[in-house]
Amino acid sequence: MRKVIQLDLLGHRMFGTLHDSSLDPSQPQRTYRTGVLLLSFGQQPRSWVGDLGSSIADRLEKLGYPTFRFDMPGLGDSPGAIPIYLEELWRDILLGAHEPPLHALCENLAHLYSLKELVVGGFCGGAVTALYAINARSPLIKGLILLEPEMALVRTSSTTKSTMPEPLTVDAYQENIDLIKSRITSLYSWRRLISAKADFRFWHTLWFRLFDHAMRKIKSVGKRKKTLPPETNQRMLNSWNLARQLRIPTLVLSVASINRAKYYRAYGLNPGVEHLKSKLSWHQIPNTTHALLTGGAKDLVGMHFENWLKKNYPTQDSGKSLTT
Amino acid sequence: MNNILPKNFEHLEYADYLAINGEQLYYVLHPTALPLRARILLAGPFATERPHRYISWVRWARFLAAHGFEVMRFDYRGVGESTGYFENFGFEDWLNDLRHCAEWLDKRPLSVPLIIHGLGLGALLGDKLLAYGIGNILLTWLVPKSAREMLYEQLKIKMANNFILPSNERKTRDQFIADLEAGQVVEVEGHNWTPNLWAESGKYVFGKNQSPSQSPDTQRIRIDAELDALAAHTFGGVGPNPLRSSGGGSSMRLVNPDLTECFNSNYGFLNSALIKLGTN
Repeated sequence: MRKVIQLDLLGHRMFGTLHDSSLDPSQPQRTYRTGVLLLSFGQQPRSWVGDLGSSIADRLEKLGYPTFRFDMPGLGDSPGAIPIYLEELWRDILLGAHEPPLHALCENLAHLYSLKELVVGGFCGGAVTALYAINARSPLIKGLILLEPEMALVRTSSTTKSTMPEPLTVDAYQENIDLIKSRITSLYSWRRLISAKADFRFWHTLWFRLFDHAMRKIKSVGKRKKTLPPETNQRMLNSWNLARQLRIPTLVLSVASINRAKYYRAYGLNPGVEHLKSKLSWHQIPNTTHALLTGGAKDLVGMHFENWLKKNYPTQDSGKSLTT
Repeated sequence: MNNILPKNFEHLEYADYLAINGEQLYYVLHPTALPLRARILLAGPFATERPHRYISWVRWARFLAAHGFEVMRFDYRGVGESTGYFENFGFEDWLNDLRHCAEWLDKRPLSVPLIIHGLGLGALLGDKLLAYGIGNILLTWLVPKSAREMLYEQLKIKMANNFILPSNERKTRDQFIADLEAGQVVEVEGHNWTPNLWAESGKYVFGKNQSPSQSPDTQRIRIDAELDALAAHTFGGVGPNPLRSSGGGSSMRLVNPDLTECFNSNYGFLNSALIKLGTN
């Protein structure tokens, strides 16, 4: 059963949804209170794209976890000011714009719903905000669930003409490598080259930027400390390291693809590798896209949530076998 | 930040559920503190479009509330904040949702005209509802010719997703439709399309609805508003980003553009229609 929540926090009016079977008077009232708070990615409303967020919350409700989904200020139903451009909004979120309302929200929810602990989860930029939840070192935050966390800061370019090409990001580098591979194997591409219709400006800029990227990589070879890409979100990485130091149980779900794995490795992470010592569990979802919807991912993500929560935060229903 | 941030009445907004056939139908009401001119029921776009239009749709609701309209928006069953599984519902159910909200608004104190404003799918449903004699004014934005055309358009998302997946499901849109007609379920951006959804879509053609109950003395006004380039891009993903400079580098995408021009012109349409109705 769902209930709409409206809270006034730090001068913001925030709209959210609670999924809780104990709201239904016909269901037995439960005494445990491990809550789950889910944050949407970027600009999306709190049900997430493809209603993944509400679908996960419905599943967790059935297991007995009161699950909250909230719109951050200016997004979804919550009033507030946001920038005109998407990249500026993303940059603000990645730099922690939602961190203060999140801390206030966690404290309020714990108080209002008598929660003994909270697991905070989020998607993409929401995963970054979720990770920032531990910065206050609140004893309330007992777990993190990060879906497709973004390790890089988003570039905000002006809408006017660009002058010098900026260094390639990890994502752009991989995309360009893929593009070169496809162009080399493309008959049409060779035909354009032979007929002098090739996009010389593209190739000129690309080689320059690839050379620059390769040089940066070579420079870091043999160094004890890996040189991180210039767009690395250092603040987020610090929170990640703090979570590992504090041994906060963390579930990470990401797309199983070669490029995505390379992306995370570039920032010093090991996708798909479980780290028992720091209580990190990382699963990769095959045959899907960043939105984690297609190819059966919507169901698989919900299943991972269920299994991980049942293992780490057993409830009255934890006697049930893990979902397979 | 743009300059159309609502100047007031946000504090009056509230959200709740209406009960309908065992499901919870989510709605948000935007009351106005000004003298009430009319009620507006916003019928939103199809499930796959909903998250991408949400921010501007909410800002439109706030703009209207700030100009003397009481506005209600809602999520169709099986979508967004409303409960239920998407695959259990179809166009008939969503039309019932719209009707349910209209009836709920009708029971509120103070009798004023009811405006139905539909975007995409919402325009198709609003067209049907008006034909059934519910509502005084229908405002439509980016209305597809039919529900079939709309679904066909949305299948582009499925094709785009499949194109980047390692799976070998490289089908055309017509092949996906053939699958639906053969009784298969097709998943599109997290929503399971059923054969029933496709079958029902054949009944929804814009402007082809005859009213069985409409009395000749009841005046109903239809406004099919043409959106400017910025609004069409924002509310329907139509055309390129009009704010992008020619020859610019990587373009910045719009999330909250200044739609004052569009909002003002549509506000003008509604004003004229209310005058025509003789209620303003």
